Amino acid sequence: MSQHHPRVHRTPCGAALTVPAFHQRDRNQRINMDCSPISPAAVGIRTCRPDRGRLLRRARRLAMSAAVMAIAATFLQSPVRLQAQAPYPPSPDTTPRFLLASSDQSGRQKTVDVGRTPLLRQRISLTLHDVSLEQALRAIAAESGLDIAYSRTTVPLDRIVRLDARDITLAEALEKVLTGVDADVVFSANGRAMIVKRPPRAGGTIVGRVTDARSGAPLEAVSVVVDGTRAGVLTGEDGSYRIAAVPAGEHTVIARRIGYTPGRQNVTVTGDQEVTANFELSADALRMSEVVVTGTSVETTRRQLGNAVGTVDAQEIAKSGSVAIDRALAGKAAGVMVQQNSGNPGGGISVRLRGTNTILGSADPLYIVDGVIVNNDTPDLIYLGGYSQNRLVDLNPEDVDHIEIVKGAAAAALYGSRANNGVVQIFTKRGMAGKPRLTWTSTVHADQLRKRLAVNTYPFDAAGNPVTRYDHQDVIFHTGVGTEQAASIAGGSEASRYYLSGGYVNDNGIVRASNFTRASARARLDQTLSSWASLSVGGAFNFSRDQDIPNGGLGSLYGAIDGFLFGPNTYDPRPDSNGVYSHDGSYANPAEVIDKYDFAQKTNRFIGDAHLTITPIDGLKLEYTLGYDGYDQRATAFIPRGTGTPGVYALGYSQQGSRDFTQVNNDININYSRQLKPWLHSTSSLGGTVQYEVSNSTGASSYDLTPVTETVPSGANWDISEYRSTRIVEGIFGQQTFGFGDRLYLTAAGRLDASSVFGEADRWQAYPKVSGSYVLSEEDFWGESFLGRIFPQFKLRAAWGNSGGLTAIGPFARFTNYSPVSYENLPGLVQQRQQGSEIKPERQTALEGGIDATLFSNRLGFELTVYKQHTKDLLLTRTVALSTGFSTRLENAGEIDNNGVELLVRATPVAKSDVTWNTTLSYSSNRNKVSGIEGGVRVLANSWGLAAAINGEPLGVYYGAGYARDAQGRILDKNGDVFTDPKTQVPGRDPTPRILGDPNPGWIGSWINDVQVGENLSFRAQLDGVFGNDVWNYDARIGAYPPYGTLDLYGQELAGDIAAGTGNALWLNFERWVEDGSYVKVREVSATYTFHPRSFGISDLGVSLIGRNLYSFDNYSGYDPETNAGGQSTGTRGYQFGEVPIPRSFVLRINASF
Amino acid sequence: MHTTIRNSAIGLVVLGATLGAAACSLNVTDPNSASEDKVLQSQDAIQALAVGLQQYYANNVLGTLYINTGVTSRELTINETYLGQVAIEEGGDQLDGSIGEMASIFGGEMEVLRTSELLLRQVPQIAFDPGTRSGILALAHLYSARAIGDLTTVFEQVPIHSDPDENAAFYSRNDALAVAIAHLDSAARILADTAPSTLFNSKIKSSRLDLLNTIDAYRARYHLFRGDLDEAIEASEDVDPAATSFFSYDAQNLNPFFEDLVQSRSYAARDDLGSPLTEAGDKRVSFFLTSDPAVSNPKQYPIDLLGGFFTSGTSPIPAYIPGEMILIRAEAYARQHVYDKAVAAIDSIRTKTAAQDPLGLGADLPPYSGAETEEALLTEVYRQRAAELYLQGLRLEDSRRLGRPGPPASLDERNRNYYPYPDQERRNNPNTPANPAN
Repeated sequence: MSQHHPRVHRTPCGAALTVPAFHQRDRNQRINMDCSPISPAAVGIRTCRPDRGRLLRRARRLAMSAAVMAIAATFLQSPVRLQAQAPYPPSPDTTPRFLLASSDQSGRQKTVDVGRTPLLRQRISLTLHDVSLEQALRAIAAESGLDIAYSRTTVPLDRIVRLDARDITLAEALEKVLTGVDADVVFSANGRAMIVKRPPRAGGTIVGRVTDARSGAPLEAVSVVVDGTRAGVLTGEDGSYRIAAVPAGEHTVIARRIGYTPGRQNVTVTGDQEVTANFELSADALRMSEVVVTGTSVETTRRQLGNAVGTVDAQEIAKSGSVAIDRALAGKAAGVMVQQNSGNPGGGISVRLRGTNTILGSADPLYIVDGVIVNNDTPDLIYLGGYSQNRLVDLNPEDVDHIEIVKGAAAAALYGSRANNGVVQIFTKRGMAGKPRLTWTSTVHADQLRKRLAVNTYPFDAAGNPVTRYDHQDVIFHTGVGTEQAASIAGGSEASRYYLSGGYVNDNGIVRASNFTRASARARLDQTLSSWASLSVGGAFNFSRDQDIPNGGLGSLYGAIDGFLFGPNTYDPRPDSNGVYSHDGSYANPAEVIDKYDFAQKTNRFIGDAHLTITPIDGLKLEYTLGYDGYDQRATAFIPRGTGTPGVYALGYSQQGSRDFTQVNNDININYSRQLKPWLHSTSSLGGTVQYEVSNSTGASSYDLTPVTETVPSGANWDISEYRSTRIVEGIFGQQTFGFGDRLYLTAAGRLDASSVFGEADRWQAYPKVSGSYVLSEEDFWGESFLGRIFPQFKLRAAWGNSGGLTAIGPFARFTNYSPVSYENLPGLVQQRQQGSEIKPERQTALEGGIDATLFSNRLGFELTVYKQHTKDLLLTRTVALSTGFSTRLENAGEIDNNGVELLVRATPVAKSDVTWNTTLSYSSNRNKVSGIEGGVRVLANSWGLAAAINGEPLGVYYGAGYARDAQGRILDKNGDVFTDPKTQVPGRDPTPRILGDPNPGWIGSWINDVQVGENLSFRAQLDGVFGNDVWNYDARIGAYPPYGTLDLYGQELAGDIAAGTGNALWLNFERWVEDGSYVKVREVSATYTFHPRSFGISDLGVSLIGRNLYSFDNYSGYDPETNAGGQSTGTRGYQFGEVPIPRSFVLRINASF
Repeated sequence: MHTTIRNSAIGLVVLGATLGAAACSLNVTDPNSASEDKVLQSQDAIQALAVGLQQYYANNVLGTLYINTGVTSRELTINETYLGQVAIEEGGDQLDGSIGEMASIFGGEMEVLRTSELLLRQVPQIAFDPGTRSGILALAHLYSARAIGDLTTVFEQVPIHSDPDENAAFYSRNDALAVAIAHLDSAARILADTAPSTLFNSKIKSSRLDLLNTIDAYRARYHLFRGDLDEAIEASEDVDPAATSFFSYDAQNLNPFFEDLVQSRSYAARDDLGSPLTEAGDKRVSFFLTSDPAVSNPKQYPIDLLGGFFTSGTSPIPAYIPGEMILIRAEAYARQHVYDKAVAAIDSIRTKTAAQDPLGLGADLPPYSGAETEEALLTEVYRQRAAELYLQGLRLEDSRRLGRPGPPASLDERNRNYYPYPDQERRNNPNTPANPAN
């Protein structure tokens, strides 16, 4: 990559510039003028005689071509000669052989005896200072009179050689200039010399073992590759590897694993021999050498990055025991908040990177899988009570190799108008050359309700009549048993590598009859087309199926848990002996909902990608990526006629909704990387993207069904809907990075972006970015001072950038639209809303700075980041003067700030030969603030009017009536006296809405521990904590309200432990129902035993016991403070209302490699 | 050769990317609804816009205006306790610009005005046949007049144009009514020049709307409001007394009184047509109301069941009442002190039987026997208007114009003289006048 191209001034052949071979075509044409082919058959082989005049003209032409290249870095070259190439060490493997062209058909070539060939013995004198090989060959030809023919494709003619010789033989001269070129000199019958590529020599094998430098423990899944070739393997669980068929010669072997500093070793491979290269890798607490792609446009090591990047590897995902990728991300990186909104098996997840940056739009990050922008929408095709799947659930976590998480400004240049919420890029596994490696994973897990609500057991009703009370949770919840199977096979040759996998998940929820099934298959082929081109093609098919039970939510209340909460719990929900369900409840009978409703969703999805990579010359890389993501989701809902569901649903209800979605992205990326000077490295990128997104949704529903029938047409009142959407995004970007002496890196980038959702005037938006990284510990003064002893590694970084947000605006929201109406059976049009043609994307300016450093001889590393994100031009519908003829208009108004701190600490407290303990602590705090909202307060949709965006406050604060309080803030009772005794006093209410709580946590943290004991046993534990957030506990509110009275709170009121009338008084006192939602959860605990049975072809066998969400330390009185009945909604957070709680899972996982 | 492949590959990639970029236009059209720029260029869409204008007025504007002003002028009472409803019923200070109903009334009329203006501007640009063009233009003028006229019944000052720049000027009621009348004059002139086409009459105009007579009826109405008494008499005489004209309703567009007073009973009709002057034996009371012992919530006013033009979801609502023309003459003559003609007109209303009225409205009362003074006659005109024009959205205007007791002295017959301007308008349009005191 960093091959030096020293400048040439004067050579015996004249002046020439060193030019990358980008303009070869031009150069070849010129060469044809002074070279003639030796035979028609040998196209491209030329003999050359020196011609100084022509060479000079050619040089000028080449110089002009160089200028045309116009990559900024090129201009920075100074015309100063830098250094001479070191002489090549003579070695039989690297020096050319002198052969005679074979005259027979055998193809065998006879070696020329150099000493007996007068031509080769003739003596010449030459002074060649750092000229190209081509020029050297010309000079030798001119000096000796020998015709020398060569082909550009076999001989690296740009290679810089040096020859300062007086009175040496021609053979010696040729030997010197051709050493290391991997070429032989073949003499034809007419005495011409042809420089030909040396035929491949027999390959050898490299074997070895990779261990942890500190503990000596074997390292599994280390990628070992032979540099410059495609040969590479992963180490097995005992740390060993074997790479066969490595061409003879000198090679560098590189061993890489995330979290370790890469190891490099030079080996000499000889034919049919085995050489050993063992590695001891040192844990790299800062992961400074880790290569990152996301947000950088070209593979970049962390040390060069001006921003924090989170990475999560396959091991961490596997050990999480989670069926969804986003769920597994919880706690794995700083600044990443993962919230599971529902405890259903396919339940929705919200991911927030550095807070929420929009009000109307989606606050989830952009997801990219292998370069394909994948859709993570949450289509609510049927209403399931706030629970809806986000479509990332279609992906199989077993296929994930690693994940990169980029937050803030860093994402700007590459993802432009889609980058406001950050980017999560998922890389799937790939095949490596070598014998097929088969893996199989089988998982069984049992999920159960972690905590039950205490129900009202008081045996009398309010009138004092005896009643029988039931716990309806008995008919709703059970232990759900699920299984997961996954298998993969990977392998290939150096030229063609493959990875094939299949997976099947059958997951039963803790609500009876709820089930999630996913079948997936993935294939990837990496094909080397030539030494300069390769192609990678991948595809994944996923089929997801969901059997749902509606529960809770902010919309309709026909679910099972609703039935339980609204009660009353004085009837037996189970069917009687005739199969008849009691309809004594306020809402649906939960047992009837579970037994008789049929709500289901199916999704078929294909995600495919193709990448063509071309490296025409050293340092230049062109990449073309085509990505496709398409899915069909179909949902059906059926409530039979005659259930106890309230309202029209009792007449029977049928609904179906479907949505097809297609997204295509075309990306082209050109990178040019060059060592301009020994102390200056440059990487330049240019790229472009075109993205299409098309979706169609249709829905139909009807009430009042004909008995027995289930489809929509059997109902009496129909409602149909359809919506079609198209979005197109185009963008171009450029990026320039300079690396100064491997310690200071400066990057500037810009992206120009256009999206079809915006009007022409505001369509094209520019998003600039600058960042810098300074590895201070590389400086001499650092290493020599006490700082170097305290912080062996120390890096400062900063980044600033702009990005945009697209999701807050519908695809056609900029048009003044007219809706179709019918009037007296005539078609009519009525205006709908006012145009927003002057609207532009929400724009974020992000600034971050940080320190990455290690302490205690690199045993502890930390990354500290402080960031400030300001998003302006928030898209909001504002009211307009009614005299315009309109009521509202979508406009850029409002702003959101997110300021915060992230800290990640990685340490190895114990590193002994038999015990290694790695620990990771992460801390993130974020402060969100909304401003610039018209009128100061905007109540958010789908929040029952109880969540708002308020100027100066975090988004989604709870806003409503609370306790009556006196001037000292003491709660008053309903008579205006200070409330002290709940047993005798009923609290008073102040109807004026005020801020009652904040669902946004003050800070979140996690603590992950990995302990390896001996070679076979490992343990892992992860604690996740969320602090300072509030939760609406509507479950308690309903259960305490006398007409429903299902929970213990009302039982206490009946028993007289709470003053009579309290439940009624608190019904509209929302302050009572806002609770502290802080928690610390035992998110993951696992023990894994791995061994190597070496029988049945099994190389590694691992057995893991995993516990997930085992316990939660919190003061919350409801099920779980983590769920959200608002689903994946941006502003409506922390609503607990009949949502299925997140289960406790016990997982047994067996994996085997063959 | 490799070089050739390499260069070709690079070329292909670049070409592919270029084509990809060129092939996709960022101007995506919306298949779900019609965008304005397209609507205004299409003959069919303009026709549909004219249909939509009538649908929107009948479905979204008429009911909001009639029912809310009905509560203000005590024709109706609220029967649910939503914030806005309570404020309308309380009136006085309780009714301020933050009440959503103020925005609904003002905004609805402004949307009608804007759509009418679009039609007036755009129809001449499109190649319609002359009869269709004249029909749509006349219709748009009629609705412009109606929107402005409606606004003058409830607001002290009103805009006469919609203004996209949020800077619409407000005009006095008299000036605004002059503009409304000018629209009606234009409509009449256009129809006189070119008769509407069959296409207009069958595919655009609402089936039971009598365009010419409605134009003249509104000319008479607005001239009367302005005090142009001769013009009002003249225009009222142009209306064919046997003609009827309706806003139609159908299964998709339900009669708003049926929805809010018959079906949901969110509002209710007060006993005796909500007028203290209603005479015993007036048969129009039983035309509109069926006696019922119920009382309203929360005010406990006695309420009756509503019938009349509101018995079903598809009952049409008259665009004007033929008797209004007679009462316009009665009022104008009374004001001109031509008492004999005034009394004759009043008597023709008082003695009219259901069979004699095209809409079946008959008071069937004895002739007028009161004093022949302007004041007494105007009181009698009000009495008759309250019954003859019950739920025509005119009670507030009549009560004010005919000098009935009102705020601040009394809230019994009307609780506001004029409505406050919607806060939403005030926030965004600097020309919004100060709110009237009451």
